[in-house]
Amino acid sequence: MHLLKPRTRRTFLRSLSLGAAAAPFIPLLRSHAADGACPKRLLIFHTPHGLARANWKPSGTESDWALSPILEPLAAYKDRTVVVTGLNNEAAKGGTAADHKRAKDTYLTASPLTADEESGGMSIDQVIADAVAGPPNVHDSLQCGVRTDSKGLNTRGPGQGISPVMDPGLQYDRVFGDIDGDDAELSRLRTNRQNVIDVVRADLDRVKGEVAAEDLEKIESHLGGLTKLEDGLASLGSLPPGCTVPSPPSGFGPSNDDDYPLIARAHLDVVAASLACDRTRVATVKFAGGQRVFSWIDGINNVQHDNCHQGNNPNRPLYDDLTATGIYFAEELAYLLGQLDAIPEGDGSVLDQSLVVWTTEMSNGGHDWDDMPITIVGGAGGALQTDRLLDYSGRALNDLWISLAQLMDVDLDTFGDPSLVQGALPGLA
Amino acid sequence: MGLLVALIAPLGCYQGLDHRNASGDDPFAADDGWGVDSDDTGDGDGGDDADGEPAQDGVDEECPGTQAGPTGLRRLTRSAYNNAVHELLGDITAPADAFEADGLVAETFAGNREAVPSDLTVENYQRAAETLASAAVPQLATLAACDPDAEGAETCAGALIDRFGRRAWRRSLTDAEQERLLSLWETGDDFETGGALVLQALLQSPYFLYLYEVGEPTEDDAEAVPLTQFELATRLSMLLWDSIPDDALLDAAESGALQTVEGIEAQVERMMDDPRAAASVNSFQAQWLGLADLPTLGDLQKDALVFPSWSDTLRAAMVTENALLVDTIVRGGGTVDELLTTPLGFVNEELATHYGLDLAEATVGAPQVEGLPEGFVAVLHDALLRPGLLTRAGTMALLSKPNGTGPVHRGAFVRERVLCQPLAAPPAGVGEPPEPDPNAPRREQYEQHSSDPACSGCHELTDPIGFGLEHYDGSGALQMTLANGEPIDVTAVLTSTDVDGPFEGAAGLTERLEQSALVRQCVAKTWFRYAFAAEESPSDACTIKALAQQLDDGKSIRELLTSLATSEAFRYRASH
Repeated sequence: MHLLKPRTRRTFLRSLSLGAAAAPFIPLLRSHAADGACPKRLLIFHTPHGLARANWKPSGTESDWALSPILEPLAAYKDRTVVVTGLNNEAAKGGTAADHKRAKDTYLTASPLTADEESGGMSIDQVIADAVAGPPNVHDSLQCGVRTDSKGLNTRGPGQGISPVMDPGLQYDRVFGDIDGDDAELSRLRTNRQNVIDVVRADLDRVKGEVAAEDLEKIESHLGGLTKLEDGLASLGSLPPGCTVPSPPSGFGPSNDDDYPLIARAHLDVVAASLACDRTRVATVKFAGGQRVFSWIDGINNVQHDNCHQGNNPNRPLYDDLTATGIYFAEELAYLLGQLDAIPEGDGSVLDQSLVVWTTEMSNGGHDWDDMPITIVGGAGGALQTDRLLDYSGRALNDLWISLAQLMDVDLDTFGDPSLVQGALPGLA
Repeated sequence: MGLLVALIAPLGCYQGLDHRNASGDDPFAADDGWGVDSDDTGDGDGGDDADGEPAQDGVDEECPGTQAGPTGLRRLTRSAYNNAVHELLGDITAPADAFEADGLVAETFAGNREAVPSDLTVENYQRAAETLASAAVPQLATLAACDPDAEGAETCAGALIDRFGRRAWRRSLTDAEQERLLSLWETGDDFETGGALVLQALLQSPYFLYLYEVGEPTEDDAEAVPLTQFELATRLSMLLWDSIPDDALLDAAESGALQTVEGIEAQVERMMDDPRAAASVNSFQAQWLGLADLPTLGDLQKDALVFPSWSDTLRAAMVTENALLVDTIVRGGGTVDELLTTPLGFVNEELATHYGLDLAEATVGAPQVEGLPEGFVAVLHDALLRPGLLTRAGTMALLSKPNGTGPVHRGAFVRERVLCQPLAAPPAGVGEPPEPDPNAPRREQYEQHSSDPACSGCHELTDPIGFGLEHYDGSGALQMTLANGEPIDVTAVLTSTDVDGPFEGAAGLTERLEQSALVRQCVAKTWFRYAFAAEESPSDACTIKALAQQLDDGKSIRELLTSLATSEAFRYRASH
């Protein structure tokens, strides 16, 4: 938790209570340009298993470039887009873990997996979240899974992968629940929760004193989770002024694969509102692929995984299907950008304060990790120089994450496996 | 393990079988090197003394001391949580479906022995407990078996804590625990509001969420201690019901009835006959019947052009058939052999059509089975074409590609899940597969798997089995010929087992498998893993051997479970 200039009495109380319990020194954010400056947001938009490179990669020079067929749905945002090509996921190479695991679980950590096939470090979104989260956030970060809860992409470290929340309704409750009620009701809720937490903690403390050493970590982690719940009590019911709470998502079955596109939209709505209302500043939306048939896309009959493997260049039979899938994802991204752009903030919109990064853990549909397709849209509060096509051939993803951190005002000059780092990408920030 | 990846592309595997044991030797091998002649390919599998690996001599080992089972604090899986709150409160909302994914045991079963609870998980527990407690307010008096108006709010609060606490925590609460909860109750305005808080605390407590085991205290420095009666009761209900004990089981525990083998056996009998056992058996079979990286049968999607008859309802019928088949055999006292070879099936009209069955004929001679879902009847499939669970439409459809059959999936399943012979992951850098050709026999299209030495080590283990199962297409329907009318050749040779030799089709394959000691040992191991939510370690060798022996002696799966429940591994734990 980080000390920001308090904006409301509740948020002040929250940070004070944390300060009392936490270490005496709480690191300050690197900078906020002025009092009341809009916080920067980071959103990772992660689609599965690569994109058809021939139809994804734009042509042109750095400042004179044209959208590709897959990027065409982003036309309205071209002037706020930076396309980054040429980067390799070096950390995915080597080791004996299965390809999919290696690709996904190294992508945001830029570190090779451990010998036990666990993440090699914290993912960049978590590093950034730790630095930029603060009042009035109710969560340091959000992870949304469109029909997936698999861990590994976002992680706090080895064995600490974060499972995305699959149900947009649940995510909504996590972000916008507990805001209704007058002061008396909220106070009651706070007291009740605290009392229950105290009783549960007493049980956990007793268990902690008795368990074998090998089990201690679980109980300590459980206790940590309780403390987190306790910390959240102070912000019950608080909403920043000007936040419009959306209605709860509806119209889909959260476990119904056939509702995939509806679930996707619901997640994007909740995420956009969460960022706009400063309930969180860092989020990941992860789309499932694999053995699903994206039957709502015209002409698609085969499962997404096969489309990737048999569609990754123009003379493969499922090339059109893979391209169509890429266009679908671009349309969803465009929708999300529209949601963020519709909310005024500062001199522009929430989108202008944000970095939205379209990522995918394979490059071109096969199990390949060179020349990864990356599209960044937004402004990072003016720090991002946009409308450019950039090539960083030969560099590793590590450097991109360092640059993104710096764009988010997070002081980072290395990230992930140090042997892969050259430093921030020149000309990106 | 990225097996699905492997199955799409021609593989470049390194040689042969991947022994789970780090020393490279499988302590559970029935004998030296899978029963084949000592290794003639020089690729290092089996117990080859020349490599310096200790050879298994196949003689019964001595098993000194108490054979305590795996330790490690276990947390409720999602399914157990849902079943528990259904038992406790009649809940049908399945709140745990929204929880984080469980950990995975032996890449097969959900299990939370290793998994560390995250902040999100603890948050989910709070949310679920609050929602459940709020919904339970109208039944609090019933749960307490006490009328607050007649007997007083505080008396009933005490009764609620006592009765609900005993069920939720699977033991009697201590005085201190009851007092703490009563103080919590007192912060509420009345019986109901206080009662809701009590439920919230009980359902978020580690005593609900974990299978907390300490064992009976012992005087001496014993390495292994017996579980308490209550702890044993919870293990029994987790194994047999995937849920918490009922009052009858708790009463049996309280009276000391689980101190004897006979006492445990009596409960196992009762619990296996109880319909709640169907949930656990179904949980077992649904997780066992698959491969890592494949979706479950319930989520399976197919290419609509290749399999236009594939639908949600057809798929659901297949799920039901598999569940009913395994439940009927396991709880009905059937054996491993029956699981492998029975012609028994369960169909509704849609599934019968898919199978090409005439219902009037197929029901003749089929057993009477009670309580079948609406529209389902028991049938007898053709014994040669549809032996056992392996050839049921759902199984074959699951072990297939979305647009065709899946010889590698099917072979890998038999190796990994029926023979317990884990396969190595493919190495990096394999190329793209060729496009499927509906006019070419499968084995021609997979030619590179056998001719390329980088591929053959693994694929000679999987592919022949798969080729022998080519009479079932990617939707599980019979296909006797290729698109051009050529009959499909399902002759093949089984290797690297204790029952090697040529076979034809599923009938031939299952005929060999039912003779196999490796298969029986695999069944024993698989139930062990399910029961303990842990992969076996070398110190479990004696337990597993004894369990496999039961099956070798012709015992039923039900009897196997009874042996498991009365084993030392089940009744003892290592002391802290």
